[in-house]
Amino acid sequence: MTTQHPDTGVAADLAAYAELPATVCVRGARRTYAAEIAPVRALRGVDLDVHAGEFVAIMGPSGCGKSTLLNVIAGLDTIDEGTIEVAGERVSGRGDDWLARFRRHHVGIVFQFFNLLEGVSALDNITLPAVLGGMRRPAAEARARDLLDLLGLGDRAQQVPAVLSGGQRQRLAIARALVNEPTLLLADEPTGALDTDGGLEVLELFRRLHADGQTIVMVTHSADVAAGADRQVQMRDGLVVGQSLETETALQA
Amino acid sequence: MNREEGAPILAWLRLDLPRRWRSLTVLALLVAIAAATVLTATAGARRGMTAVARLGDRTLPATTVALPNQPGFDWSKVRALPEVEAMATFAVAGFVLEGSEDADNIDFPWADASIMQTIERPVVLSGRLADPARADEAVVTARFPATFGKGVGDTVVARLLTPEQAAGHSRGVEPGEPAGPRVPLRIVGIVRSTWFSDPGRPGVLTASPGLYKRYPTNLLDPAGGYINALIRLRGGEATLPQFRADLARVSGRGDIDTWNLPEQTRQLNRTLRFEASCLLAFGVAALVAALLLIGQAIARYTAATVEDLRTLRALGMTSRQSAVAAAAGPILAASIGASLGVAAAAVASRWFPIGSAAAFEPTPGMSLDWAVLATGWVLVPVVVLLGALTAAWAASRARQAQASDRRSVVAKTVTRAGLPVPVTVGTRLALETGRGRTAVPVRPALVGAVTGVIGVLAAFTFSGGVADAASNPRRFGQTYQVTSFFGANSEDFGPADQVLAAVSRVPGVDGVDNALLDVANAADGQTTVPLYTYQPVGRPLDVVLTSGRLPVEPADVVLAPSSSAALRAGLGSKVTLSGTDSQPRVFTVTGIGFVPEGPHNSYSTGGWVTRPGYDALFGNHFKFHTAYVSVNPGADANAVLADLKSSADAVLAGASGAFGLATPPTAALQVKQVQRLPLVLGVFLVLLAIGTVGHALATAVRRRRHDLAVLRALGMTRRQTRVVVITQASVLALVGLLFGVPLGLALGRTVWRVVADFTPLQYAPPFAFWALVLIGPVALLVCNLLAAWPGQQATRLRISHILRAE
Repeated sequence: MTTQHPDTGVAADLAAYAELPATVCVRGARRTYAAEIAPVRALRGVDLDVHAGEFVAIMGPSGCGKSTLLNVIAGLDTIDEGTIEVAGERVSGRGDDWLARFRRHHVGIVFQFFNLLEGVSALDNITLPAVLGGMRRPAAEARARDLLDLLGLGDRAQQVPAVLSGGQRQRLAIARALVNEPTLLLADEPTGALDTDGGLEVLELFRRLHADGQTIVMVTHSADVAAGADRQVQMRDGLVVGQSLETETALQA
Repeated sequence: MNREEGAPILAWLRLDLPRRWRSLTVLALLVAIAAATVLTATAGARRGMTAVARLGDRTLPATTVALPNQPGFDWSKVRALPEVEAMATFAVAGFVLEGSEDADNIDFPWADASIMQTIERPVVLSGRLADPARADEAVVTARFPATFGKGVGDTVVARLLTPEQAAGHSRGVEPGEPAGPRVPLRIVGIVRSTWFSDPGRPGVLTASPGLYKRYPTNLLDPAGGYINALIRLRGGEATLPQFRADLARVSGRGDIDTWNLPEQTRQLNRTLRFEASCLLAFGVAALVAALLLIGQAIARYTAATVEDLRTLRALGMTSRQSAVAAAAGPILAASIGASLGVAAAAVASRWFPIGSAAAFEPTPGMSLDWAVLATGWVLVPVVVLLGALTAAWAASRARQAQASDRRSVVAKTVTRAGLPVPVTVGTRLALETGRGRTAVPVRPALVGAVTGVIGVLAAFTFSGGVADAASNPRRFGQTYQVTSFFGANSEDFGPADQVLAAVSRVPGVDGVDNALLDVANAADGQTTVPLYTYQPVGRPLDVVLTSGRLPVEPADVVLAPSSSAALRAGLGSKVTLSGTDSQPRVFTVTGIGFVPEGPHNSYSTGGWVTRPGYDALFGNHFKFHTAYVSVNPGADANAVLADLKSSADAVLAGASGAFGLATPPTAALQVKQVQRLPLVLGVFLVLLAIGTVGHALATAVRRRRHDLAVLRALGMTRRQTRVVVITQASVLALVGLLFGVPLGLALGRTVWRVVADFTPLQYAPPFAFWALVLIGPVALLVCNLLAAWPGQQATRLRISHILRAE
């Protein structure tokens, strides 16, 4: 059950989360893209807090800025104005290399279309970011195998992504995102390219991760998918226009 | 294809060309460079190969030069022979030009006004022919102005001897400083014929016959000097046997040396054919390299377009339209490149033919060989069309084929070795094709790198062989540094044996050969064999043998390679030779080796016999009596020469001037003519390799931008991304070096061996030391420089856009 403030749209029960440390803190984030006809104002002053252990779904119609918001949190894109903090570190205004190193340890990303390295085995797809994160190769491989087993892909370690099903590829992408035990897991339409079964598989996985305390921010335009999250953030025209709390889920968490 | 079918293709091109014009520009430039190189080489080779024939067609070339070398020889009887069409006599004498001590740049004074009129009538490259009646006019060959700084309209001063000096000279006494008249000669023209040409020489001045007419006794001793003749025969070479018989009949002498000039022209043509073949081989090598290296660039471009066109295929574009659309860009680039290449080849023709042929080209300057240029202009786009269509077909087939899991063993090993992630990823980019839309053919890039290194190293190795031959007279059998001239026409100027005995004891002298030379006739009636005596004085002179041993018995003979080929005689063969008394004698070929270059032979024509063998043929006759002296390794030849002269002076005052330093073999100068070719080929291959490896790197970054963006998203820094591209470039370079160095070395040596056998010259395995030392660092440096721009592009990827768009 959800309750919303009549003016701000923010769930009244969110006060309970305010006690927890903020993993993501976005203030006044603006992002404008140059375009041929007119500039596209993707973010027009977004404020958002995500607390440790929270599972937040960002929803909204196409072009509302939800993926842009995810990208600027991940440091894959930059904002023109405002501030962003992730895991206590200011992300906005940082250089590319700092952001890259930051992502290694604090941010895991799951994309709609998987973005796996084609031509590279499932095992290496997971091992590579672990090594990049400073893990020695044997340890990285061991960790990768554990994750593959955990996600039901243990027998697919040496296969390339092209031969895996959509659901398997996304599970592989999730394993890759988790290999460095990130503070924050970002997911951009993680079920968008999957069939119903595949989508449910992934959602179930997210729920398990959340149950284990993983902070997750997920972009989706599907209400069914968003229903699995603690909190749903509504966006429209580059702004957060409302938030709702999935009370039962939050309480369970 | 009708308008309706063509419209989508045009629409696609309107979208694609603005997007990829840089790639197409690079492709057009590569095609232009390759087309210009291949067409220039082919047209240049054709022009060089036919230069002598075209010159001969226009210049009434002589058939023979008759050398009785006999004072007071009666030429009127020869002139009256029915087979003699034209004749021009010349005095075996000379003069020097003020400011130049070298008499080699002066032609013999002509005693007949018919020269350059009815025989050896040259093409006039500039100015006009000299007036035969005037003593103050001269013409020069093409190289003379550049060498001596005097051209048409300039005046040089001829320093003639006094009659006394000329008389002394005919008896072998060095005349010293000419004390006769100073005659200003105005250069009125630059001329060229087969006879009046200057291959391997710095240029020649030919005085008008009027000079000899006015100053005969200053040029030739009437008593001891002699006049020889250049003769054009009716019926050409076929009449030569008849002429020889008639000459012997009217002169009463059977030993008059008569050169077969058409045969010499054929030998010259062989040299020119060799040079032209080198140029043609260069063209073929350039063509093969271009097909390999540019072909892969076209394949990559086309494959990428086919991939891009997949969406349009889904929207209804036919496979035929797709193939044509994919090939259209490369064809456009090829057409522009071919046009530029043809224009460049036309401009470059002004510097061709090269090598010795340049001295025989009747119409130097720009020359448009339309048979070659037009063929190239048509063929280049056609070949590119076929290549692009094939690549498009292969790309579409590849998409349909089942994806394989084949991975590079090297990349796996690098990964297992725990090397940094950028290194492992870069190695994969270089060695693994990848999959789907990110797939990039790596094999052509690897082949390109290997081919580039092979070509460069082979070119430098071959060039090393040429440089070694050009700077090492030994390769042409010249093992001596000092020569001397003791007598001619069976008459010595002094006691040669005593002089040589003294010379052999001079410190620094290594070997001495007392060489008599006369010309033997082979039993076939066509081949003459100039024979030298192998007669060591003191330590023997080293003789370069390609096989067998030196003559020991009177019936032994060592044949030079060309004579061996002409007589079809190998080791152990019996050859029948006749000398002064025309009696046939059988000799056994004990060796094949080089002989000294003399007035009657090249280093590859003639032979060595023992003194008893020589005496059996010629008795006490000789055409020339010379000696060849080698100095100890490391000794200063000039210092030894000075000691030789002192030593000879002690035996015979006044005759010591006959000693002099040996001049480099003519063939060495000719070999030098092709020295630049392999280097030009090397530069060409370097340019092509740079273009293709650069294209491969740029393409890889573009096609693999998704993978790079993923890695960036996973935490790879900009510097690490740059290292990925640098590693990719370095791996390409290392693979190129690994296979290219040994193969290039082997190829260079093999080609040089073929050339050495063909020339002929002594084969010594060439070793391009600096090329071997530098090719590794240079290849790595160049590849890394090439990686700079794609590396920079890789660091500027808009990660979020790429990952979403993909």
